[in-house]
Amino acid sequence: MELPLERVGSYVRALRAALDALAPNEDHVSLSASLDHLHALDPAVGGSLLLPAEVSDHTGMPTYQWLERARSEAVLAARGTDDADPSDAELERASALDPELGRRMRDRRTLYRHLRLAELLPATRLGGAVRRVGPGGWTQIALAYDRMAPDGRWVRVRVELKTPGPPTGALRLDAQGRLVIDEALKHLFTRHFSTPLLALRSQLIDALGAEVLHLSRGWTGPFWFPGVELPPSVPTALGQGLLLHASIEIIATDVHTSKHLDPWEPPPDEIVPEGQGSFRERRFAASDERLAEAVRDWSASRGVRAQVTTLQLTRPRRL
Amino acid sequence: MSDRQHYLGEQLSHAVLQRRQREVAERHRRAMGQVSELLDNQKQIGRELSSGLTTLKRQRSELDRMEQQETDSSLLASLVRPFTARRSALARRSIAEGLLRQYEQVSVRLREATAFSDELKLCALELQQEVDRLHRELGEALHNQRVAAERVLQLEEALVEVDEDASLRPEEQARRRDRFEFDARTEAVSLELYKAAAELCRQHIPPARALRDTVLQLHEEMAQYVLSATHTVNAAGRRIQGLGMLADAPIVVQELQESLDELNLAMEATADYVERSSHLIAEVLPHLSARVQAESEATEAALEMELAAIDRERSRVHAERTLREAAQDEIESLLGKDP
Repeated sequence: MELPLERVGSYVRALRAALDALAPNEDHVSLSASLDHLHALDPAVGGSLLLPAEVSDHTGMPTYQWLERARSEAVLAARGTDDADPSDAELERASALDPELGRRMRDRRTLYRHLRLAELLPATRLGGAVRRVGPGGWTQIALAYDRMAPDGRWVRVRVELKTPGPPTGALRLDAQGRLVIDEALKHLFTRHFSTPLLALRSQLIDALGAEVLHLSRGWTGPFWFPGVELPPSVPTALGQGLLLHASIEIIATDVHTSKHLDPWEPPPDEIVPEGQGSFRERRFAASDERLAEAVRDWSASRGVRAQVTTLQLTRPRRL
Repeated sequence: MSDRQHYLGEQLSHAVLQRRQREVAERHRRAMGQVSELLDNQKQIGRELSSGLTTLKRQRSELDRMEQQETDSSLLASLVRPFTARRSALARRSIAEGLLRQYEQVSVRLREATAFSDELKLCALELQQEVDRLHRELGEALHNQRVAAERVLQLEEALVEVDEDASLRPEEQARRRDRFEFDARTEAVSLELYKAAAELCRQHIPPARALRDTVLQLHEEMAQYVLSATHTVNAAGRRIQGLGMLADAPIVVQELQESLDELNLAMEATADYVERSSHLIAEVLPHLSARVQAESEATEAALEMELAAIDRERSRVHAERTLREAAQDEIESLLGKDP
């Protein structure tokens, strides 16, 4: 769906406020990148430069192509500097010649200046770091794969793994001991980021020959608001305000007691590896207390006590 | 001579005219530099597009190969398939990954083209402003030329009257004659200067107009390209996002190929545009530059000669001719002809 111009600013600010209220942790895509990226989409920053404002009909999240426009502008912004941007006098001269062109040039300058400092969400990105190296060369490695999912939600797959000896193959260390990740591993994540967590764990063990200590997948979204098509099983009351979901699935050695706190997804039929536990949770940010209550009631009807935060449409804080 | 018409604009002197000439040449040089810079940007977009197209072709071949593999029903393919299917998961590439990277590149090019289109528009507007300024200055120069011509003729008449006026004492006659001769020579110089100013404007209007039209054409073509490419790229983006979840299933290969085709179409349109406009600029700019330079030098040399050769008889003839030409200009202006 394409948002009308007058709704774009309020949509972006509401989603930012909801994210800020949920304050997702490192199992989700970076909060600061999410906030910065959304701020770039705000017409208060870039005017109409990044329009049309398209959001997914089903998840209410900004579409890949809308987000990508900000990333493309960031590439162009990085080629210049604030000092080399058009001066106020140049903008005034352009406005005098053509007010619309002048406005667009001013919007572009504001957008570029924001983008030069901003951290943005990647379409796909795999990063990692060495946590620890032990006797015999065993290495504990942290990986994070971020993606704008095809349905518009944002996902992070986080892995903590331990190699039996010095890492080889798709993961290795350079002369300075820094982690080098083969592009092939990114391809593997892109192919399997949404497969069931246990199957993904098996793929990683097969591909890397390492022990997977922690595997999590954190989803940001959907974002329901009037106009978004809710799934058939969801009461319509849940679509009558602003409601952002943040869900997490974890299979890890440090989960000692398995728990399922997701009212949306039923508990999967799975056998968690010995010595590990699974944890699933879905949290919500609701625009008002009445909606929060409706979410709690719906969750309770599905046997789960929901975590609901009400959002404040004020200036988001930065973590 | 109390009801006489006044000169418009800046009081003209030889130094002022030379300064104006330098300013016009400088503004033109700056505009040429700006357009050349735009051309460099455009060439860069062209180079990047060319590399993007090469990548697209490679990906297209890869997709073709995959499709061929999936649909290969030969005995050998059937025998080999179970073994190839067991290849390491790491050795397989993700089509979605490749498409996303490609989309990113195309999207950057498109945003660049959009910003570039605004630069072209600003440049065209500034050049139009220059054309407007030259027309205004030409108008002023023609008006002032007419005023100067009328004054020269009035002073000539006054000189004749002084010579014929027997009632004047010889001293008064001599004083008036000196005064009128001085004024007549001053106005004669003004007449030459305004004539040169008008000529300067006349000479610079066509190249300024040609430069403006060149940039305007570039802008129109770029704006048209951006409009059509935006639509195509957005369509490709929707398809790529929608298919991402299934991007590695063979069933979607055909649809992915369509996404690639859409991106390819957008990039080829840009490549065509860049080639066309590069040719236009490469042809037009050097010619305009050389013409402006040659005409500036010729105007300056002619003015020096005119000023050196001013005498009363020549001024009177010139003033009469100027008034005739001014009358002719007015008629042409009424008929809607360009100066």
